[in-house]
Amino acid sequence: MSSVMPLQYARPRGAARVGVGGPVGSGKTALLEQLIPRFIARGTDIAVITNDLVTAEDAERIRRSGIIAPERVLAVETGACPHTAIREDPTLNLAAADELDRTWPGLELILVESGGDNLASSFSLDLVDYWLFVIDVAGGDDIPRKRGLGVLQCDLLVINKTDLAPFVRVDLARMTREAEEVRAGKPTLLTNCASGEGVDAVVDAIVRGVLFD
Amino acid sequence: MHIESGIDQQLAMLQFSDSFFPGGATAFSWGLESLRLDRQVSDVEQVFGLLQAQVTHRWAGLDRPLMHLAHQAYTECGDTPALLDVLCDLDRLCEAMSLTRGWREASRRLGFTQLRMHADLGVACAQRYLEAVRGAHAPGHLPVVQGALWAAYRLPAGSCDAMAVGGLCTSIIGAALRMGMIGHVDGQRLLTRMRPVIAGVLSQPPPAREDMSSGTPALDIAAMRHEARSARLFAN
Repeated sequence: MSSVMPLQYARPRGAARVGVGGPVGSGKTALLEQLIPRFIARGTDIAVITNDLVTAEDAERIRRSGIIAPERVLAVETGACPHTAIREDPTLNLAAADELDRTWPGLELILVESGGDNLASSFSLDLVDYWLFVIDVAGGDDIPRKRGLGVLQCDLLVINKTDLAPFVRVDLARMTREAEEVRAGKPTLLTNCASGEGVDAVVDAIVRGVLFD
Repeated sequence: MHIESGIDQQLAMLQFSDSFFPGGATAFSWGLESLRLDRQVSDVEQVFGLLQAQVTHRWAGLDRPLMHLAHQAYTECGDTPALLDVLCDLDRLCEAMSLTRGWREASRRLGFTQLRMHADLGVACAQRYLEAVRGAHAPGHLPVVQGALWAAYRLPAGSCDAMAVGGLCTSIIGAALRMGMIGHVDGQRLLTRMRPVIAGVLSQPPPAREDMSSGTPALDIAAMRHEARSARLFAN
């Protein structure tokens, strides 16, 4: 028997994996804190992987929040390569997802939060089934016009901190319109993760995208 | 995807030992971050010292012979149930001889990523070994995985030596670069300076199973101190 098979092996798929990327401070963890209770409320069996830059702060924040069992949150070190860990070499994230699938039979959804990115970051298609890119109005209303990979290629663009728009002199309507133009029909949603405004629509989009119910 | 000799084999070596091959190595500094935080290592010469210690006092005496024994096991047993028995035995030996949790977990995590990647590429024994690891029947340590999988590709043991030790050096030097301890030219100079060190190690046969050893007390202490750090970039 040949020691190396042709590409016939298909690994068993576990829970659907949804990436949550975006620049540092855009509100990725805050979005997770809004998404998790909503998924739990609708009966979705959920777990979380955080990619940590220096500390396990994001993972600890979610573990201590009380919104999900702490053992359902895993942290992955990125060795100062946050982009690599979700794109060129996502193997440690895949290993973490495997561990969650093994530990929690029946797991339906794993949210994979990136370690904080620039606009050129994206997720490996072998790591996630669907991915969100979170930007915020305080980061500047020119972000969509810069046409970063994250903004262009994600399945769902989330513009967060909409409540801050008047204070940072951002024309939210124009920012949204420009985002929709550069994304060529792919969806864009607005959220205020401090209040939860707009988050239900993000849940609906993920459900339609990967949970199919 | 059967690897023949010649250029096909050389290209396979380059593919599997390249830092572009997804194996999770970028998350590990092998003691360097801890020693840097403790102000024990801060410049190029000290990074070179760490590289020498990792290669001559840990890899050469422990990882290398384990990899050779796993390579030999595949060569003798082929992809049979007997192979897994031998690999599990070598895994347990590696587990017992790795003093710190930092080394053990790194070796297991990197072994797992290699197994998963090669299983995805269609290597039958990788899939079976991966299932044993997932079922907690074997830890799946990196040198054991490397020896078995690379033998499955029919890469010679001597080539596996170069791939494994080159990967270790690249991993540590990459960590030094990302922590701002060295520049990119320094990184290449270090790799060049390590060549004769590595050649010296490889000029000798790997130690026999009963003579395996690992003697890196400063690195072991650094690994132990790293386990408790709350602020860190690297897993070890």
